[in-house]
Amino acid sequence: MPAICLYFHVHQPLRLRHYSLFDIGRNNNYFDDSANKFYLERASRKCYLSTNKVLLDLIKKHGEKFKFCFSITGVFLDQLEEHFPETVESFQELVDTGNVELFDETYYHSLAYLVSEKEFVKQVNMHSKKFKKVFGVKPKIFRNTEAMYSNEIAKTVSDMHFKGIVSEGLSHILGWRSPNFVYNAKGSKIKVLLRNYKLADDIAFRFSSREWKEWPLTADKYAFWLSSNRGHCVNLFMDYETFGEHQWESTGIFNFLNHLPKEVLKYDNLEFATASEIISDFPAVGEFDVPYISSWADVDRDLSAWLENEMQKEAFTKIKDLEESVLASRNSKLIQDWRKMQISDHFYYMCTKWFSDGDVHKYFNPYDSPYESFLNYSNVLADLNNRLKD
Amino acid sequence: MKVLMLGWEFPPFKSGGLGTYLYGFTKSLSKKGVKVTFVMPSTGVKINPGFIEVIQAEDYSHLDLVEIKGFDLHPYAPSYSNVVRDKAEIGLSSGSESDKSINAYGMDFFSKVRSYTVSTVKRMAKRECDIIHCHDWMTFPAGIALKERKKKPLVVTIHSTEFDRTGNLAPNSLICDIESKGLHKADKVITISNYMKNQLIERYQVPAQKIQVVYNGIDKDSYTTESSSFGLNEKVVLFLGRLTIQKGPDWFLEAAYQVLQLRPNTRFVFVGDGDMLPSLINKSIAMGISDKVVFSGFQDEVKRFYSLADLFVMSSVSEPFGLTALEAMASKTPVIISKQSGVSEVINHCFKVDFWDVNEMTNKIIGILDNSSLSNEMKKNAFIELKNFSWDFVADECMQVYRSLN
Repeated sequence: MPAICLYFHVHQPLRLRHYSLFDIGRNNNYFDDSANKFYLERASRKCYLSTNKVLLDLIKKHGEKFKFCFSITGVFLDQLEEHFPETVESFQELVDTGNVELFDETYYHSLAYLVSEKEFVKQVNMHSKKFKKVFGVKPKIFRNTEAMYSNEIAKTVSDMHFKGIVSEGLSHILGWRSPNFVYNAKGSKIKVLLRNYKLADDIAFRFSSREWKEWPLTADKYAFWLSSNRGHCVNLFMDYETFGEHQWESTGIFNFLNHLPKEVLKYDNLEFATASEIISDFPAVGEFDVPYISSWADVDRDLSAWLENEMQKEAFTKIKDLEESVLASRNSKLIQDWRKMQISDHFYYMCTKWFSDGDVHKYFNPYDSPYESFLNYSNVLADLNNRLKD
Repeated sequence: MKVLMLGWEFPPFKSGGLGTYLYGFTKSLSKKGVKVTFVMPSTGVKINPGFIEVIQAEDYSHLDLVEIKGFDLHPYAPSYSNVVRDKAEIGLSSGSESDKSINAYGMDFFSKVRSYTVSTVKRMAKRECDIIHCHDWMTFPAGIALKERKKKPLVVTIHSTEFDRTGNLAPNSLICDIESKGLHKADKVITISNYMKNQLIERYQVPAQKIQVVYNGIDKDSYTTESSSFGLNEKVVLFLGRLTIQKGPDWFLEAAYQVLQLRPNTRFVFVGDGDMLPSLINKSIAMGISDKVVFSGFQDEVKRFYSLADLFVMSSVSEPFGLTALEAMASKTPVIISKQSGVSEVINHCFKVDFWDVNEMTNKIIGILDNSSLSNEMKKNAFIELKNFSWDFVADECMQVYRSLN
């Protein structure tokens, strides 16, 4: 009897403004407030407010039979609180129903784990504190940025008293085994929840693709697929922006979401469950052993979207090497800016992997090229360095 | 298929990109079985294999080269460029523009074009062909006359217009008239970028469906990818192009000045000749940076300059395509190009700036000089990107145009 676990990740990048060599030492306002506000407004309107409303209505309709999970980055909540408090309230309203479980992550949607374990723990704690304040909740499940996962990461998260952690259902690790079960992380007590990427991406990526032989995807067809799954759970983890941003309203995505619970609940062998319910209801069936860091990104499922080319590596080494001196400065604005520069999106924009192919990634990239992105980032870091000398 | 092709330069007798283009293009056409008869004004120099290094005499065996004797014709003769500047200066004075132009060009120039046309038509009158293909305005009158006489389709390729060559400041109306006539008499117009296509639509009212864009090619294996150096412990930034208003060397010099304030250990090399040379030298002296700026003059062999440079900047005010950008990429030299260029439509692995945005140009020059990771990634990926450009593609697309007309 597979339990369906819906989990939505909510985040918006913090875009840098055009920051030239001539700004270094003269201006430490790094972020493009108006662009950030513009994209936040667009996403709020097209995705967050409308999807929240659909989900709230579904909870009202189906009661405790319909539940799901969210994680929301701290840096995103900060932006919302400043510009669109009504969107924060709409999330609070959902959480207040009691049908929504929240996951923790790094406050800054950052590569903090790769900076240092200390910095990682600090940012996770910041995030917990933020959730406590905004939602009055202490999460038990953790999801790292872009589902970056390894045995070591699991160990660190386990030591912070989390009960479960999210990972991609990595087929090269699982081999013949199914992602539709709970696993034990190798080397720690924490349980691992694996994303069923086939079924999740049917919604997140393929939903509107007319070349896909299953197009158009309807809720009853999808529910049938879910019911034909074996195992204990089907983890449908995806970006929340799937609804209304990645898949526009005109694709019928809201209609699909609206009908999904009803169609799922028609099957006796299906139910909705939160991640915490799944790890307490089902025993771990085996060990999940990931010696190197993996992620849920692209086909490679590794770190190559953020840290592959020379520019990405150099930029990251520079930000990482500043840790000690920035923290020693005890200048809270400087420390905050340094953390904002760890946001994974900055490194994603420097990726050259898909650049020539005019990929869909371009829609979300504010730069004309990865080179522009790197140069902008480097100039900001030069200014950060300057401020340290003051 | 037989093509009668009319141009005005061919290696080694060349002053710019057209010669390189015609060499690569015709070579590829003949490889694909097209028989090309190439007609050009006499160069006055006998082809001497001992004197030509890169291009051996037998390299011409792929085409039937016809030189029309007695005409040393060239749209970029020194007097021409002076006209441009003089005209810009006297822009507000009275009198008919075209009269002044004729005088400044020398009466001689236009009468030379006329008698070149007569000789070419006479000489080619009996030559069999399926298509007449002209490159740029000087050959248009001959192309039109041959089309009418032979009743064969005329294709014209526009590599640059009078507006580009004069930086939009003072186009010569006689030349504009010839360009216009050629464009309208042609059965099909090929041009080298959308940037140029739009100009032809706007300035010459050529119907959009008559214009086909075929981007330039490059023979990337003929460039050296090994970097060399002057032996000085300095970064070298290269400008390569005619020193005329069109190419924006003055904007590049402004950026050089700013870069040198912040990174004194940098050298700026200008390769090329043109009417702006004296003023650029004077300006560099006035700026106090003459010891950091080198003017090499026109060079036959430009490949080694690309490999000497740590960075190539194409700061053109108006660049129909910009083959030099591809040449630099083929030499594994990072590239900054002006957004006012055709090549900026088709390459990604470079920096793009507005030619007038000197601060941003400075930002990007220093960005590349300071960060080897940036420079390395850019040149590595740019080299890979060149797979999208070849003379075979150019030949294939032009052959499709030929076929559509027959």
